Amino acid sequence: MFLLARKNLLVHRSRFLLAMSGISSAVILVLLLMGLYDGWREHMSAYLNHVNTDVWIGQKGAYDLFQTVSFLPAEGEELLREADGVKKVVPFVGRLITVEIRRQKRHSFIVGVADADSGPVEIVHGSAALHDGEIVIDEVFARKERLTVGDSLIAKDKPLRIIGVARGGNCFLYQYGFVTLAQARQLFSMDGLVNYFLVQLASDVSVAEAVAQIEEISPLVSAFSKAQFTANTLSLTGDNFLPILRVLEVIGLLVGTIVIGLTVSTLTVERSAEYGVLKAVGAPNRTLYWTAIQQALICGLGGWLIGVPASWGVMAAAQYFVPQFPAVTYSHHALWMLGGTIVMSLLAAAFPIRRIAGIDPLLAFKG
Amino acid sequence: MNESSPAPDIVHLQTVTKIYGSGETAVRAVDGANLSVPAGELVLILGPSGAGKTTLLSLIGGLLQPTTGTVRVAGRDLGQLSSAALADFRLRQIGFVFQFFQLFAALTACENVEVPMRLAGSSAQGARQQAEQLLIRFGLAKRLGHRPQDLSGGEKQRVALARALALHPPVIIADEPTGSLDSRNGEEVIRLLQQLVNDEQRTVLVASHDQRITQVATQLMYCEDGHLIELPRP
Repeated sequence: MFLLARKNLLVHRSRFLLAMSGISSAVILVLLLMGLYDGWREHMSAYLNHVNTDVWIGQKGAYDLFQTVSFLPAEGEELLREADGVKKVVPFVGRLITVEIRRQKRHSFIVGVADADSGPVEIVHGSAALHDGEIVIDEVFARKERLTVGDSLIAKDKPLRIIGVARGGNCFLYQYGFVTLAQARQLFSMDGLVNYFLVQLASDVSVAEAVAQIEEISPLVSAFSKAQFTANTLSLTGDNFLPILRVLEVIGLLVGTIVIGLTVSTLTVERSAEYGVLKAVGAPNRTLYWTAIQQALICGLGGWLIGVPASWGVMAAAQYFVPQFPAVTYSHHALWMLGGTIVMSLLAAAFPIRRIAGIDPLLAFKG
Repeated sequence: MNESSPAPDIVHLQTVTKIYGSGETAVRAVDGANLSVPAGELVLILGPSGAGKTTLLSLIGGLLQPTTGTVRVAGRDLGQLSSAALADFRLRQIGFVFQFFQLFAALTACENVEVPMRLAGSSAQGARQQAEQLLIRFGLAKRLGHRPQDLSGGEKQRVALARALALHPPVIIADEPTGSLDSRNGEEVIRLLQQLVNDEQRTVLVASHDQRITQVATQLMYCEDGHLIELPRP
């Protein structure tokens, strides 16, 4: 009965195309949200994963890079360096500030770079060899603000010349910028202070043990492994923001299910007499139900086939027009969506199946 | 009906009653009907509209279950069959021809005839060959790939007849098969039904107002107010 299922669907081509566009829109929406979910996590963690450290040490109660406050005396660096098992200590100074570009206020998370261990992820244009009065900006920030190497921006009334554009510093709401450590301290008025210490351990030292030991020796600091600190930074916004994306994904799936259900149900109502004839000539109910399922699957899989490549196009367009849009495309998203589409189709088939079950075969005797 | 009877009736109704609804609004569509039809007969059921003819055919075709009484067709007591078994019975034992043809609009003539064969599990190729042969036999060789909307009334009814015969059922049930046809096409359909009885020993039950069928019928029944009466042949 696949032939009848397929041909009946295609009888009204314009309606079928309309249904396809509705379903593919749902597929695009869900894939976009999935891409946004993963992209956000990846972009948010890219710089933190890049920073070369085993342990982040901050003020007691500090928890993450963006949302909690941490100030430590700079002389702590010497104390840490003398501790057993410590290979290297790098001071970290970073803060979200307002910068001025063409008289417009913009936000950027400025990091004071002590050495390459806390520098940008990857330079794509220009140089990373910073001096005071210079800045490396993120490529997303550069595209968004139409800035390039050689341009300037103003931070706290001080002009900073752009000497490089880097990749991997897009946090969606704002992007990282990199200046010298001295420049950062001056900008943030943090003489004698740092926000965090980045501690590299000797290879034979356990990170977990080191974290426990640091917190035990100095009750005024909080220490985190690199993975834990990254997770903390993601979780504060992720716990609140990402579930919203999940809710929207479910809404997208529901919309897709409803469009498929409406399409096949409308068709079933239109073809009630034919279903009556099929029942009359001996088609068992399971065959008729399977016809509705096939139609739902044709709609769903058709929408998926159109929706997947269309979502790539939409994402590319979104990133072109909104550079900070952090979506990523993965083949496993498309595969997951294929599963989701099959589930949508099967759920949607429940509507026409109920209707088919109630069709009287005696309809075949009527005109 | 005795199971060991050497020549059992292919259709046997015993005091069959079909009541729609209940209480004061109950309608006796068929009221104590008895009918015995040996194989190879063409039975014409006459009667005014609303007399119960279609209900009677539906009972014989396994589309309805009687309120009381027994319906036996092709050796099966239809009251004892499950809904799945009844569907299989209709598929393999009964060929239906409807007044309004009831062809599948999206399918070609050939594909329409293939439907019962595909339902019975035939291969696509086997069903296609057999459907083509049937349609060629009914003079529709040039209409195999046409959709119902491109066929005349007579052609549609011949496609419907070919579909009814697709699985070689022993019993054909036709409800007003000439009702939507002009005189010439009506005569053609009557000739084909007669051919099925005479050449292939099939049993054909026809509900119709068409007096021309009385000339080819081997048994005449009259239905009124749910009662079924056998009429003498003219």
